Amino acid sequence: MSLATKAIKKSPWVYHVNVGACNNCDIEVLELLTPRFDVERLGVVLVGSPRHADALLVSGICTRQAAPRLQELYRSTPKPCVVFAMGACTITRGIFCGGYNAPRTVDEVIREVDPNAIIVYVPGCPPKPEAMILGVAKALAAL
Amino acid sequence: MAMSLSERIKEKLGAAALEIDQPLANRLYVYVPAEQIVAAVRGLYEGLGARFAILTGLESRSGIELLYHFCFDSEGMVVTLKTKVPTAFPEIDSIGPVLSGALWIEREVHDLLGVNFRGHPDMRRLLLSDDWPEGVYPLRRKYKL
Amino acid sequence: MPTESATAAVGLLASGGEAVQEALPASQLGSVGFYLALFAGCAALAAVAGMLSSWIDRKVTALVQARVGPPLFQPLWDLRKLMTKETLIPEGANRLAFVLMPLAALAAVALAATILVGNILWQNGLFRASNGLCGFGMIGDLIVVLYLLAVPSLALVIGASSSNNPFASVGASREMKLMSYELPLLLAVAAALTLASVAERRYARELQVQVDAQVPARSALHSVSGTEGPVAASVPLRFDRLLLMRSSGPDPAEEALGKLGGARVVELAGRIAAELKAAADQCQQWGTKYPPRASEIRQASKAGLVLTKRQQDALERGLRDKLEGAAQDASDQARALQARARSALVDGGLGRLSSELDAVAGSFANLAQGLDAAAKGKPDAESAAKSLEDAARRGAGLAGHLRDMRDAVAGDGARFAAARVAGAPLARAVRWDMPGRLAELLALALCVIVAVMCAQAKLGLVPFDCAEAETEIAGGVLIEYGGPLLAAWKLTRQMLLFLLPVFIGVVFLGGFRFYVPEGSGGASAWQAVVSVIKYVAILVVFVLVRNTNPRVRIDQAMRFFLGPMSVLAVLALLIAVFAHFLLGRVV
Repeated sequence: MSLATKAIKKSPWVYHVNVGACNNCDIEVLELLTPRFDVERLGVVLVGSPRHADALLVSGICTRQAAPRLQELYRSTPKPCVVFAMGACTITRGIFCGGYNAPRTVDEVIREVDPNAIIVYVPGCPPKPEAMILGVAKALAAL
Repeated sequence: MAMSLSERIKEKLGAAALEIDQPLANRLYVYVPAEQIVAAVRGLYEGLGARFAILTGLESRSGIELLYHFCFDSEGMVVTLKTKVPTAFPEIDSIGPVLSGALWIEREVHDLLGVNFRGHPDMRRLLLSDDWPEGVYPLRRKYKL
Repeated sequence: MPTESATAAVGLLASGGEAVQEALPASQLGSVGFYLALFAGCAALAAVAGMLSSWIDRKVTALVQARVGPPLFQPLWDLRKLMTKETLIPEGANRLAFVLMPLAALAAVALAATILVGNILWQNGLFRASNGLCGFGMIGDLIVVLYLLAVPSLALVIGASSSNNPFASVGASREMKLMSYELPLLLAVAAALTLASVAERRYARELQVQVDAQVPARSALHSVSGTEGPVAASVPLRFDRLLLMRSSGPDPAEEALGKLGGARVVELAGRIAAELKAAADQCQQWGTKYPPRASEIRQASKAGLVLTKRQQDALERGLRDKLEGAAQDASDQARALQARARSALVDGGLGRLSSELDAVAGSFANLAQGLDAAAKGKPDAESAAKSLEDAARRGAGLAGHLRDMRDAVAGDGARFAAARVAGAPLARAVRWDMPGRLAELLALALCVIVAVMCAQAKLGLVPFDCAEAETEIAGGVLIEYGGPLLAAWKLTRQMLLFLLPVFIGVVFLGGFRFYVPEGSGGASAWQAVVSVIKYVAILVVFVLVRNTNPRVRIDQAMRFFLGPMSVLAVLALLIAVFAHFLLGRVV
């Protein structure tokens, strides 16, 4: 496992998942690829299929409808993989905490499938791109 | 001589408008009995050329209130038709025949408040997840989170 | 002329190594171990170069988008990371096809890499047989290379169809339709082959080539590999063989020799060798038959040379050895002369041949002098000395004879050229030379445009990446592939990114020359720089086209390839045939 996670450090391919977000976090993720922040120099590539991904960038409160889909996506991603919970909504459901349509947070949903999942929390509403890069860098360094 | 909007509405709606309230310069509340909602909507939409903005609802102690919001853009006025249906038998005519754009919001109100819109052609679940139990309406007062 | 040494990359490719088998003894073909090592080496080279090309692609893309881009070893880290992930095979997928296809694609590309890299090595002087063609059996056919380069697309279609995923099926059907780019590509290659056969005939028959060879750096255009490239598709090309499916044809060297009267040269060289050997044999005989007389020994001792019996024997033996050595030398030189005459002719034309003959004549003269000195150094055995003198004279005579021969050939050439200029039936060929060359260049320019667009589609780069449209069909053909299998696909793509510019360079632009043997004109270092520039330029064209165009729909792509591109390719073919008639009008 350590060899694999070491290999991910240099080349983390991300797959973006929106499980009920207001799109603010999604826009910030897109900004990461623009010339100002340019995460490609860290080896990050936005891929089109979860099977190509090493990291799932999850944004949103994880609605009841989306929960099984998120679990299916997590299962589809070849291990080892990391889940980045972007934004306050994914960590604690943010201002929608207590709402009728999001009974569980993202990490609860994912830990149902894999209790040992590696989940990284990036707070903010939305988190600034610098915060996201910091989160990614810290996570990769800690792996 | 130009009539004020409330006068025009009173003239158009006639018996359907029980009472007209103007708390702000650009807001009008028209109280309409539930049975005459379609006539009232027709009067505003086809008669006076208003634009249907949205339908909102809430459950109050005396029943489920439904508010139909119409905009008169040229005059900068928002007119709201307020109706009330009893909580035990929440039924009202659908305004779909008049405004096909209102069909989806009626589905939403049905999902969340449990109001039955008579004559709605396609009353399917809109917002709630597929595994949500029938008969449980989240925006009702008795629903506990 | 550098490129005539037939970048034969195309020539060799098209001749398919048959000439090889005819010309070589089996022992020269090498062992199985050698071939395996060669295959592994070429595949590794293609992989490394492919990763480098992929980095160039990403870096140039980043620079175009005002970004920084990934570090140099990023493609390597990507592959390493993919190798460490788990392999997931979707439920309901055809396991065999799913797993086998990426490996099949990789194998095909590795084999194509071996053939193309082997070709480049051959072009730069390795693996040559005595007749100038390939000295080992790894050179493949042009048709084989085209087929191997098409296998990855087919493997992609099959792999995607076996993925049990609707997105993959959509991608597979798009990729199948996209393969319509093969048509203009084949037409363009056919045009290049036509030009090659033109150049071959011109090269073989036009003695103007001799003049060219005398002035190696006639113009920057002509001595640098590449722009003379069009001419060099001067592949001793078997285009007619390709068309008529003839299984064997005349050896190009023989043909050239025959046409130029060079057969005379070789024959003469043989006779010289025989005569030299006879002279040496005779000397040897005399040496043994007439040992030094006692009186001579006394004379020598009086002169201060005291020769014991042992010393006498040694002297005698020494003389014999010297004569034997001279005889061996002579026959070796004669054989070498023959071989060099042939290769000089194939390689560098008459000019090179005459300079070779000059060198040989010089060495014969030296031999003659040596024999002379040997004769003088031996006061006894007068008849031996006389015979050595005879041999020396004969050697000098032979040297003169060789020089005469060279002059005669040169004279022939001059006469031939003069006859052409004077308006003999061949004169038209001379007058139409320039337009012919322009037509050649035009046809090749069209071919290159068509080939670059087709290569863009083969690589799955924008604007033709509808099969693997990331944001449209979630990864398309490769949607279900992950881990080591995806690493195989990525490596295949990267090796193709290395091989396709090489293919285009070899077929249309005269190949990649890094080493130029002396006497062919053109500086080695400049050739190497131009070769690198050629490769990088084609790669950068791919990347820039990729960055300046949006993705097209599959029906637009098909219409593009079967419409404008095919028309351009057919036009190139017609112009090539036209150039053939303009330039090929020789005796």
